[in-house]
Amino acid sequence: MRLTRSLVLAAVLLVAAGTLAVFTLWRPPAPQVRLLVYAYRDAITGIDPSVEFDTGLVVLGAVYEPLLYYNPLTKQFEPALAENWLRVNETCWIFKLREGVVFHDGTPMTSEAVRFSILRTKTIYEEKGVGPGYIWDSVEDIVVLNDTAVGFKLKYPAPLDLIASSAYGAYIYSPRVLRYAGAADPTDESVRLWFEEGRSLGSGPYYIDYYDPLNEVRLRRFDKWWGWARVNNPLAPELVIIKIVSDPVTQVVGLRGGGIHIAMAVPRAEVRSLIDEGFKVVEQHTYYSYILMFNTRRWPTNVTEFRLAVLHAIPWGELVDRALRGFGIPGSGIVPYGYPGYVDDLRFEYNLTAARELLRRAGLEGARVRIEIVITVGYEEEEVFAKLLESELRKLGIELEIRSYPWEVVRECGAAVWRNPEEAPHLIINDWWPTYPTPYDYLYLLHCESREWNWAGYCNEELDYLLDTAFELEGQDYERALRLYEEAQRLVFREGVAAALWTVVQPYVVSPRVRIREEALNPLYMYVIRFQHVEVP
Amino acid sequence: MAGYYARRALLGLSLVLGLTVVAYLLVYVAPGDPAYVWAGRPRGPRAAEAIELAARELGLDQPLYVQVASFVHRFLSGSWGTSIAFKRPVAEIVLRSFKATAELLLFSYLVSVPLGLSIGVFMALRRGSGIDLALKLSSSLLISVPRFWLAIIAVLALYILGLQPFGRVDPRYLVELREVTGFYLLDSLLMLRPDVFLDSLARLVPPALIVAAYPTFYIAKYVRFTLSERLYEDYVMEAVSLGVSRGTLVTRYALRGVIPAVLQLAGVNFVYSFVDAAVVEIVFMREGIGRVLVEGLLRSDYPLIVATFFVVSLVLIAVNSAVDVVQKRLDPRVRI
Repeated sequence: MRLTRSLVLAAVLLVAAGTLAVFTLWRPPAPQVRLLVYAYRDAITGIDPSVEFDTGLVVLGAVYEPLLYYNPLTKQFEPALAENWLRVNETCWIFKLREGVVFHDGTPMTSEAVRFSILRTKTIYEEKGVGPGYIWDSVEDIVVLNDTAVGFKLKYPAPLDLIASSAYGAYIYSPRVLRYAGAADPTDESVRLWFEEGRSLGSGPYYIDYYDPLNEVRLRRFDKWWGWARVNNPLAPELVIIKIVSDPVTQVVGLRGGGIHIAMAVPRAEVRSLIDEGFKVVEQHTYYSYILMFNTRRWPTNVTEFRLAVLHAIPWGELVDRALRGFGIPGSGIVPYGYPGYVDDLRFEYNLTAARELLRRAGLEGARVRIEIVITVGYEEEEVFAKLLESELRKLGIELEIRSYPWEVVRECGAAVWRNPEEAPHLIINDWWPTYPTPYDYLYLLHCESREWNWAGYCNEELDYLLDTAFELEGQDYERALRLYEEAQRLVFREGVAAALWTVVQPYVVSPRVRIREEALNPLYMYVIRFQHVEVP
Repeated sequence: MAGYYARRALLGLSLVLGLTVVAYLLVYVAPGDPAYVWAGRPRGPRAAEAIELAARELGLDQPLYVQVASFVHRFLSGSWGTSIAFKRPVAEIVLRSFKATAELLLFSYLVSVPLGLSIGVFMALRRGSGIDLALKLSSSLLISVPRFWLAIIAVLALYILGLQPFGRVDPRYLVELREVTGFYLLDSLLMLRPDVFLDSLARLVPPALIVAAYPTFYIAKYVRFTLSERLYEDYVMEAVSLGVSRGTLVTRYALRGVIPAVLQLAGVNFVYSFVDAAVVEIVFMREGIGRVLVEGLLRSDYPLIVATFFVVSLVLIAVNSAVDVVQKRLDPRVRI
């Protein structure tokens, strides 16, 4: 029985010590370093700068740099690793590189590194179809002119400055990665795995100190970064922790408790009360769009009048306020507001009389019609939209069945439209964000060849022709290309195949003691905070 | 005894093997496309081709029986592969998360077994009293209330008190923490850093107590019931009439017969606690097996899911076997 007593005593002591620690002795430690904790919503899916095409951007954007940055809102380029660039002719570009730039391993950034990084990105895509390497499709060869000048020879004219500023697939890193990974070939899987082990070899202001894709990523300030003097921010964080906090309520509690300094996924309903408590809200315009797509291969959404009737039943005027609590911009056409190719007058009107008339023309007035919509589970805005639509469609005698699935399943449901249209839902929401600033990025969603993402199952030769011609023209006659993209959107609008519901305005809730400078955010690089422009006293 | 170990090991192995196959089949029939995830969610014009190529690379184009056989073979020969979603070695992710969960569970059971025993004895000695009734009601309540709900209430309560119990240790300490064992309490002691130890302990106690709620009160109820019966048996009544105190009787004689069964109960409850810990650690933003499973399931990451199942089932079998052996040691009547 001595054992039992000892166990009881041990348990009591443990609980007592823990409780004492919680309630009396436990105080957060004094900061040893200038620390910033950024709460991000999703686990990180990868950090190979040539392959990653998803949530890893939030890390890549702080660790790597492209040749140029571009802000579609201001239509301004910002030199990054390239100081100057010149379009010699339609198929030849020269980029003059910044001098004195070093990678995180201390090796200098040279033209050879630019060539290596871009060709690796391009080749991986060409060989495996993986990653964003298709953005470099126009590149025939990259020529090292000298250590700080690199020439691009193109197969066909393309806006290389825009491509070089892509959010994905345009990052430059040291060719030494081959040696570190023990690989001979840049496309060798060991290179990818070397990166995924949590290593960085970029030239950005921060390098990866610790990488746990499910829980947190720690970034350390890279003192040899070329831009510190220009940024002139002595209060920039020395250590950044990107903490994966998937639950929005937990993000709020973390903010209030001081353990989180910037939160990107607080419930929108909470934002007002957080402002009242002294938190700041920094709004970032994004190109993150929610596009409603109709299954054009299944009755009754294969009937144009029916689709248009549904589109007229959407309460467009209150959509952003209800679904996004005001943090958004109403959609018009397919391309989001502020993005090249945006057209302002492609909005549907909420008009139930017009909707009834359209249903009459389709021979469906008074008929009991039942359709399905698939939305992503946990996306509050989609749920609100679906509920709104359900109640409006009921007024037209249309029953809407709402199905919520995890994102992976939503994608399968969408892609099923090509294999078995009857299995695919009548309506589905596709959330989309850009790579580099081309309207093609969004409109390709309705291209007949886009079998993975064209969840409408829509095939229209005229549209495909418009899109392909516009894409080819981008490098020669950009204005004409934009006019063709507009024409394509008008076609989609008339047919009612798909419509952008809204573009998200991202509210970052920021601790009162932290300041995010304006330069820290760029709408093209979604959820990327350029921490060198953040002040942490 | 050696025969028992051999039988148990054989049984354990076949169980684990069966579970591995079942886990693979479940992931196979579940919605989602591992090839799409492995290809990095491709969006370009050649997305379909990339997915097809990834499917070939992963062997998903093979017949199901070939897939299962080759996966199980690779898995049991120690090659757990790379996580489809996170491109990191599966073994590394699972073991790291497992250590975090194990720390939580160990602490919970260090508290719950002795505490459950003490509460049970206390109730038994006061059977029928007001305090016995109050404890009985509280036990039933704490056993039946879902742990995730308790966890949310605890987080809110701590928040109102101005405390933040999230994570395993304060982010500022994370930078200094040298991970030797992966158990933060132990690592902080090895580093001779009482401040880190205290911080880690303070963050461990609230979730651990929530996980401990179920086994503690389950054991308490069992001990109370069993002891109450014994305390009214003839030999006890006679001993009491001879002047032996009930306390002495309980601790010296009656409890001895109860402890093996309590250990058995603790072993069985360990399974439930694993599930509880997986949920509670998500609410408290702690890394652990629960988070790995959720992320793996959302991304059709079958190597990660199967490996997690594998490790968890291995631990459960080991715990139950260990309980059997200890039970045998404590009670010679037990045959194993």
